[in-house]
Amino acid sequence: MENGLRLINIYKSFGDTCALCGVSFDVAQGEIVALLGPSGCGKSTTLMLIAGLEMPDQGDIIWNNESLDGIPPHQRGFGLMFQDYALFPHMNVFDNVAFGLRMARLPEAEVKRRVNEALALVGLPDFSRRDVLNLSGGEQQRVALARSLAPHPYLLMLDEPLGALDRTLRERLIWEVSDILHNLHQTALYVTHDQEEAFAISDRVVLLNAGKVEQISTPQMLYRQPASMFAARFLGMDNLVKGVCRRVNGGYEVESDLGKISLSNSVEGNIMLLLRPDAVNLDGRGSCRLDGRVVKHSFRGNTCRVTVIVNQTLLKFDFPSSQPIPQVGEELQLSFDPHEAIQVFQD
Amino acid sequence: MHRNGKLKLPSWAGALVLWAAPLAFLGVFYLYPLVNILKISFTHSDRAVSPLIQALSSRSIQHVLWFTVWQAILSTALTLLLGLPGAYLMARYDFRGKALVQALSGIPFVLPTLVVAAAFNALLGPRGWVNLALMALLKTTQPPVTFVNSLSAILIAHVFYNTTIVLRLVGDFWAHLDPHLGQAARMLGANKWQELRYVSLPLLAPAITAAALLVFIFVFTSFGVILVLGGPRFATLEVEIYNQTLSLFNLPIAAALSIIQLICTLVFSIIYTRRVKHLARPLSLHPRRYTQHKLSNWREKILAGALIALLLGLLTTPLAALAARSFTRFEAERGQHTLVNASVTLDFYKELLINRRQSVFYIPPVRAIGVSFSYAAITVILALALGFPAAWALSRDSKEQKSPIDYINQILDPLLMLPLGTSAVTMGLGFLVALGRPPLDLRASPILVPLAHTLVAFPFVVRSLTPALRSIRPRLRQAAAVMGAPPLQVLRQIDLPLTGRAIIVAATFAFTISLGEFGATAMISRPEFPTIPVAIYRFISQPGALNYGQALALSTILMAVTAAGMLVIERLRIADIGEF
Repeated sequence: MENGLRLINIYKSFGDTCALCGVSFDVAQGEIVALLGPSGCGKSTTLMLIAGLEMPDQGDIIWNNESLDGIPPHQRGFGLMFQDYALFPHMNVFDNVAFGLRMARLPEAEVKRRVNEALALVGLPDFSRRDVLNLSGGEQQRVALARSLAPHPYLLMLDEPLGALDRTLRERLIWEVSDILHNLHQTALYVTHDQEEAFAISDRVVLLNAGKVEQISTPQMLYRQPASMFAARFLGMDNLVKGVCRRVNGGYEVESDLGKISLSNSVEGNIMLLLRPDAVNLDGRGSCRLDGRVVKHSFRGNTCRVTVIVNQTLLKFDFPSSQPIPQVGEELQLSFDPHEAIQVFQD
Repeated sequence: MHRNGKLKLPSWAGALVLWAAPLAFLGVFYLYPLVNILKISFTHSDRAVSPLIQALSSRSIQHVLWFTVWQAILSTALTLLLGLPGAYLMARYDFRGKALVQALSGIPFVLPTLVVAAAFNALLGPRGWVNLALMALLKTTQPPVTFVNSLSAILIAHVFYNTTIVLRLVGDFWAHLDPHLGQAARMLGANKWQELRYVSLPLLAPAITAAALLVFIFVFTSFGVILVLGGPRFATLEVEIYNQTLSLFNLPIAAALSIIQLICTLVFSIIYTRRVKHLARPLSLHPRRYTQHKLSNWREKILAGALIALLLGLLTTPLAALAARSFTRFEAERGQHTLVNASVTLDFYKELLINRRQSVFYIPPVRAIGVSFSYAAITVILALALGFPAAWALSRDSKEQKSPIDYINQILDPLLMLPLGTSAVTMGLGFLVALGRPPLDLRASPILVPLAHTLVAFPFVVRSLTPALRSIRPRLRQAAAVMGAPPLQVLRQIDLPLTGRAIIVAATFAFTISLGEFGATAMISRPEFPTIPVAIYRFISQPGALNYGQALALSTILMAVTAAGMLVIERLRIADIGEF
């Protein structure tokens, strides 16, 4: 087995509620994995268990083929960056970043060198003497990152590291953090509820729901082929329509409120049909057609989300804002290629 | 300034009107007596030096000073030693019976000193449970344990009294301290001790020093405990002021000692106030439920169990002993010297109603209960009448920045708290020297004691009313009005429920403080109008099983009333209004 982190069938309950029910996944050495899921799905609990700050009820956590069972947090050599940063308010920036190095009893000259190196890495080279309480949110975030990177942790865990920041700053920092982690070849586990963050930063995504792993795949694959209705909904694909699928000479035919659609690949019986919101056009491209009337539209910057009523079913589509935006009440003809736009789940 | 055609007074004028009565009260009954004490302590008598110099150069007084300081240091250290682990346990762990420990730990702090002294006497005194048991066991007539009149009695009673302060002040701060800070330290390679040393303790430092200072101030001015449990061998400054006044009639020396003590407590109080301000440091504070753990392994459970047992033992045994002893009579069997026959009895309570020639009073002791309750009722009225306008003035929001109201409040707020930093005996002395002669001769007036009690209760009343008044922001009234409440409904639904509770809390504070007050009362109460604590003191310093039993019976009654009062306060208090 390759080196890195491996979680095997982890269970953890708090009282009667099962926070994690049989979670397994790996993080290979040098890989950045995003742990994605809605709040309360068990992401943070997973981090606490890997950190050693909580103990699993069942299952094994393995690092480089050795179980971490019984090893206290300070001896694991992992780093954890908290959502609220948890900077020590009674220390300045330098002492905060130096903390882990001093705990490792490095000589003070080495501590100084490593602190400066870490601060330079996060773009705060002259902040040593500053009081952490007077830093802006973005600066605190960088100091926290520098502090968790300075001891060169085997595995760095980041718990919603950008969650407390406003949108503009967050978007800029996503790229910075991503660059820093990739340049250092840092093995990292990045916890977030924001798919954009997860996609931008990670090599692979572990999608978690209600204490269980829903899907593990690369960001592209996750987006292109959500493995479950939960995954589809979580990624913002809401056009799910009940239907029945039958085998028809070599292919499949789905019958639903959207009419009959032929597919080359599907499952038989009662199904849910997903119509991807971004794979539909107004230019007549594709073999399928739907007629509908616009009931609502909302402008979202790059795209415009248009709600269309098709045979009493409300569907939402994203069209590029560069095109003329369909107005409310307008009749539309929507076109799509079923192989691109349709996905089928067993109901 | 002109609105609705009416001429409006500047807003600060309104503030001054509100301040008038409380300030006049403090001026006449606090500052005027203090000035008198000051005058006496600097006035040359027949000797060539002022009483202050005389006091400071006296060997015995130096001894008293020295004892006051080191017993205070020792008591504070012992209190921290028990309180800090307790605070950690309460802050970081969730366990069965925690609510009980919390509730019980609050009781000692509010108990009158005389009750505490009586309680320890009932447990460890010559006629207490421990000695009675040992005497029966060893078949002797002499109590084998000498606890009363010893230093350990003083220290244990002080720890009993003040552990709550550490538990509450440090425990609360600790409970709200972001657990991520400690976890971050662990993740950076710190073990549990390093986490405590480099992260938790430095962050707790302001809370710990504040608690330590508060405990120190309390034990530095300790009076009832020393008087009853320490006996004649031990005297703090406070006790010495009392002795110099009432036994030796040496008012100049008493005044000089008061001044010395006042300066000390003032300095400590200033440091304390500064420290408390640091508590507001913008640490990220978190709701309790995110910061607490269950006891997980056996080692933790055993350590925690031992600590809880120790805390509960210390906090409850003396009180249980007191109540039980007040209902138990021991009789020697005929022809035998050892005490054997124990029986449950209401005699000590019945005896309170009887007027016996041989008792200290020529009036039934139950009279003390009547006197105490009357004094307490007057205190409640006075304290509310004076505290309400002060609290109202303090809670007024100035609309403009840096308005005169802010300045007035900033100056007057600490002034209100001054009586807190002044020892009760000093206040009593001040009343004696200032209000016993023209222009203000109240010596014969029964109002003197409630006035002193009002002075003691005043800061507590203001502190409980202000947050409630402040919480009624105009927004709340506006919100109610927008939702359709006419003005009368607004008053009924918003103002009254919010202030009503606070007023009950403040009144209960005033009532229980008045019932339990001993230091000032001991100085100024008239022999024919003893309060409950004064009566307890007289009974407990007299020989005889009957006197002892009556002291315990009175103490038990006082304990029950005070505990009930605190229960009312705990139930009705809105959020955690800091009463320290």
